[in-house]
Amino acid sequence: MLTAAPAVILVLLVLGAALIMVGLQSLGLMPVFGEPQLSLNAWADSTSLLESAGVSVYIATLSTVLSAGLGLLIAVYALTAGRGGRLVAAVSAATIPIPHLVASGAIGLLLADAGFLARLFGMPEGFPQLVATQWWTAVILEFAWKESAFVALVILGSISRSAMALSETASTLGASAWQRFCHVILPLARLPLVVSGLVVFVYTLGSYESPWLLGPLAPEPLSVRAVRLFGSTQLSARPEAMATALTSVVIAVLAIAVGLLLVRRSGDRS
Amino acid sequence: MSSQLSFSGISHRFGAQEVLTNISLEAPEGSCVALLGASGSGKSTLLRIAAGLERPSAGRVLMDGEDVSEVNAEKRETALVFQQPLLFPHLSVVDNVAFSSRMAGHSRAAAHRHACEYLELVQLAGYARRMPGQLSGGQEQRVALARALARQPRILLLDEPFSSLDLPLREDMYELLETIREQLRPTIVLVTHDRREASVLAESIAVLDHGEILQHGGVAQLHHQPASRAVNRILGGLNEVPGVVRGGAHHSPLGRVPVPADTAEGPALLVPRQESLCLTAVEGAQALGRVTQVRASGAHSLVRVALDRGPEQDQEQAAVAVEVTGSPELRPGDITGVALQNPSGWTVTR
Repeated sequence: MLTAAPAVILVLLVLGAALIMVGLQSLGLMPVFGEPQLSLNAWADSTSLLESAGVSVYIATLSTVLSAGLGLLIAVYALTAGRGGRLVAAVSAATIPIPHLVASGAIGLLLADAGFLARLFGMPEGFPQLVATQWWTAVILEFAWKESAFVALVILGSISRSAMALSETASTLGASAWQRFCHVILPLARLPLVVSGLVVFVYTLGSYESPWLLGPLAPEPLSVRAVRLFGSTQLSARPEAMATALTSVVIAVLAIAVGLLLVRRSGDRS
Repeated sequence: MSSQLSFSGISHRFGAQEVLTNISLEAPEGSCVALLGASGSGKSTLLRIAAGLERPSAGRVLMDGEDVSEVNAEKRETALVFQQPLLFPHLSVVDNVAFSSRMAGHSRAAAHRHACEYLELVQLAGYARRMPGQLSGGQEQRVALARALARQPRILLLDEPFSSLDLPLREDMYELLETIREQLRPTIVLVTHDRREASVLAESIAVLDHGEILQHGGVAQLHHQPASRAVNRILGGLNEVPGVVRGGAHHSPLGRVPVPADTAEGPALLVPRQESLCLTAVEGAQALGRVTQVRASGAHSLVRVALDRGPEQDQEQAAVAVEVTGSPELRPGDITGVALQNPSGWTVTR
């Protein structure tokens, strides 16, 4: 416990100071200019804030679900398919160091109306609109592509040593391939899946580049709204930017709390 | 419940390396056959082939004469207990033992009732609700055994299941296995590198070395009539006395020792076990020698003796190890007599 103290104190100091400043600025108590005055003006446009929060939660939820599902499949394939599986795992892992900004650009070039795929198919009229759509398809696909590799890596790191031996044991006890997946691999992968899913949710909730590049102009997710307001030439918009960022933090903290509850319950059961 | 298991001409390769070569072996219904060999001898691979976890490169696996080589592990009606218990960490003890019943489609209640019978058999009925992490190593291995038995396999395969346990626990497990054999009469194939374990548990032992069966026979036969020097060594035999078989007897510094009538004449090694030799008084001794080492080993001692050359000029120098009870009053350099306790001996030529 004591050995972790220096790191914890440092994190608390930086994070605490930042959050206090953000909170004070959002309440008008630390203005860029003028006298400090308690005000809820930054929180007044709650409709827009809630809409942004809804979009962010929608993108993060779908991205997390897709990443978790894909990551689990990649991990199971890597565990069971021998050399082919190891190749898939290596290719998946290679996506991790690519920055989201670059990945978003690549996905845009691939999926846009006049992108690589559309040209490959001869630019048919029925080619679906995937970039800047109201469903945030390209954004979610970009997150799913990048984060599924992360999820797979976490699962593989956690269960690869025990999963094969336990799976073989299950097969000698009469379990079919599907039963082994449901009754052995999935329960073993549950904890790393929840933990990595939680990381993906919080990350995608706060990630800016992909929604900014591949999403529609409106409505804005919290991250894009916060950056736009923060960079606005109107310094009076700064408290609104802070309120938006703080909303993102509150949602992330709630997600972490729910996730930890799930992890603890999972631990109690096993 | 039990069946006959046969391996017919089994060979297996991992890439370019052949790990099993033309293995043919039978485990009769209700018997216990031990596969004994050092690490890398191929014994665990043979067991995995029996379980259906590996497909042999050549040859067939037969159960009651039926070829099951192409049958998947989950449909093969065998159960395998590994060196590590490999209990499912997310399931309680009773759920682990009920696993095969649940996979077969039985209700949770029925599977639990069935599992409890086997937990009683391994004397762990009171541990049903515990999680694997709350058990000791011995208890975990008992649960693994109960889980395998609950599958009601035609063949029970044991891959060094007791090697990670300490000695008293191992003795307990031997007794438990004896009880299980009395009650259920399963056919058992046991893989072990421990010759004592093989001797205690099995009726017959197949000695594997570099992917080949060197000899398969009864426990006493393998100990006292090994087919080769390698088998003698793997079974713990320490003595190889060079000499010549002539006129129905082996002639060596140990003297004239009668051998079976069908033994081929010519140079041969006499392989008396250290337990079959005894130290005698110098006067009138079958053979004489000088003590080179006395090593205590619990209640026994191992005395190494360099034998004097016999009356025949062409006899080679020989040394023997003699296991004696207690601690003999001998020191290196002392002269002692050595004799065979049995009236006849056994020779090998390779």
